[in-house]
Amino acid sequence: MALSPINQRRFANFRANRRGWWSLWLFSALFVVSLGAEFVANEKPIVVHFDGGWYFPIFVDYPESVFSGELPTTAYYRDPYVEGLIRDNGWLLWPPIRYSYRTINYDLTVPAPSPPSSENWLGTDDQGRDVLARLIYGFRISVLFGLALTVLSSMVGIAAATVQGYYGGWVDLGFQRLVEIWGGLPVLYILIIMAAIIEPNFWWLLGLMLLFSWVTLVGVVRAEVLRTRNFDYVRAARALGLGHGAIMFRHVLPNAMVAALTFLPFILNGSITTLTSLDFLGFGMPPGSPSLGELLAQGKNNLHAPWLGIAAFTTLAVMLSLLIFIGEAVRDAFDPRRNQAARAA
Amino acid sequence: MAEWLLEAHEVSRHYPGRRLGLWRREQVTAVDRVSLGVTRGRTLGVVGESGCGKSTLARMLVGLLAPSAGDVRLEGESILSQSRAARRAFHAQVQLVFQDPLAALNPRKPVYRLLDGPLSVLTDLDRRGRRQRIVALLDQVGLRPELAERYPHELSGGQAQRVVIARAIATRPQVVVLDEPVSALDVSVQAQVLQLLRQLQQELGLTYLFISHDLAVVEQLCDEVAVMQFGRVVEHRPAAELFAAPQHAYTRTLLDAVPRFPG
Repeated sequence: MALSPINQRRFANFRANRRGWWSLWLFSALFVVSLGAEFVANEKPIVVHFDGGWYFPIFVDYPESVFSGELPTTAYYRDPYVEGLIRDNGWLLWPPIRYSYRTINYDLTVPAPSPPSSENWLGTDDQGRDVLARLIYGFRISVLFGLALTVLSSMVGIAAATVQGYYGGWVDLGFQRLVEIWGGLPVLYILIIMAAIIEPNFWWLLGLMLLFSWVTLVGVVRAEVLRTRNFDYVRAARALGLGHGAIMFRHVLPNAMVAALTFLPFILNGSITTLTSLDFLGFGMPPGSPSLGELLAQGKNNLHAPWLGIAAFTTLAVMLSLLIFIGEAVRDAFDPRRNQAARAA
Repeated sequence: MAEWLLEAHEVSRHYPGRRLGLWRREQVTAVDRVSLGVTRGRTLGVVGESGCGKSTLARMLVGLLAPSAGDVRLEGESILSQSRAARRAFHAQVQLVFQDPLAALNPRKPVYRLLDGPLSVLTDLDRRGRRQRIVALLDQVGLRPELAERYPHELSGGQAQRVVIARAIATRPQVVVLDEPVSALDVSVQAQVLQLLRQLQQELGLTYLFISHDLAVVEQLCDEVAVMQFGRVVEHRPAAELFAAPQHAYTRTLLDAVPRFPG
């Protein structure tokens, strides 16, 4: 892929910001690991070799009888008896953490929440579930939710702002008032009220928050479009008989995107924080889902078990800081004045 | 005067001005009942000081701006109440060249994409045909074909204006409205671009409407000249006559404002 010279310079500027560059790598690594959470923290082995056959329990449920057990039900590999059966006639490969986010450790020697041990590296929560496993799955769901919300709300917001700014005049004026009223609604209360009516899940929350989050981008993109639409090349495109839609998407939008792009990392952060706070209050993801907010709430309720709060807080702090560092680096890379300073230095 | 190719008939344009109260606004008249036209293959110059309505008139003539009153006609047919398809055909016939070439070219697109735009919208050439046409166009405006890969900011001012001209003639228009096409360029480059315009006019039989405040340039290029002041045409005569014996007081002032050096 060939980058235009200006993008090459932006990329060089981004790389020159060492903090942002390393944050990007670290965050990407964490994200990739969490994407494969099933292979990192799971109650099922990744591969089983038994009696000359290969089995992949993560993808397929095998009944215990396949491994010469008695029960026709799905094998429970954490059972030492089942593991023994397999080891007698083959081998099995466990993920590094032998707990999924909902696996309950029934063999705890202390009452849950139990402190960190060699078995549960960050301890367990008050229901005997492994904290580290829940953090990995919770990180994944937070980031995915944030990304999905950011992408969707940017698309809606940018499209709305482009139409608004491009037509200008009364369209702009009317729409802007509407956006102000809409943006003035107390989102958190509406979400809490909605949580009383419906059973929230990932998609409900995404939809509800999308209803309100697209507003954030409208202001900056609209301003940028208002500026761009008066350029001669937009006039030239109109004189060439190009339709309004084509002008918006081919000529106006690409030039207004830079301003929007610098906002995205911060919207991502905001989305993640909102989801966490909803989970913390108990109005977020359905019970049992791995979530950082729920873990924080547990930490608050179990002050005698500080590992809960500390683990959740540290994860959240690291994640948000990394995203902010990346965002700052992106913003600076797109700032033309910074570019000049970097070249002069 | 009947066979005007492109014609403005009693055209006016108002802009909202200062607020006079809660509901009333002053009306600024940028162009006031202007009638002028240009015959096929000729060049009409429109001169006047800045703010006299030249560019507003130009925009109305190419269909970018709707007149508040009056009519714009191409080959005797009004363009104001046209269907979408007819408007499209009109845009292919009448093109505009802007003052600042760098503002008129989308900075995110290389030259071949800039030229490909009008061809794909207004003509029905296929990809290969468009490609050949782009090469031919670049040659026509005196640019090397290698420049097709460049972005606008990698071009010199003269090269960029040549690209703008190439874009304007890409659809083989009959009329090209030139809105101060050389005033953003160096004097040495100005002469080259004017030479190019003259050459294109001969080769393609173009009709020009040349808007400028530079009387020397107008004198070189134009067959007829219209002088505008405060949104009205105050004098409209063949160039030679006008420069030899200006009738209107304002025209004389304009001519006297040009510093002339003996020899």
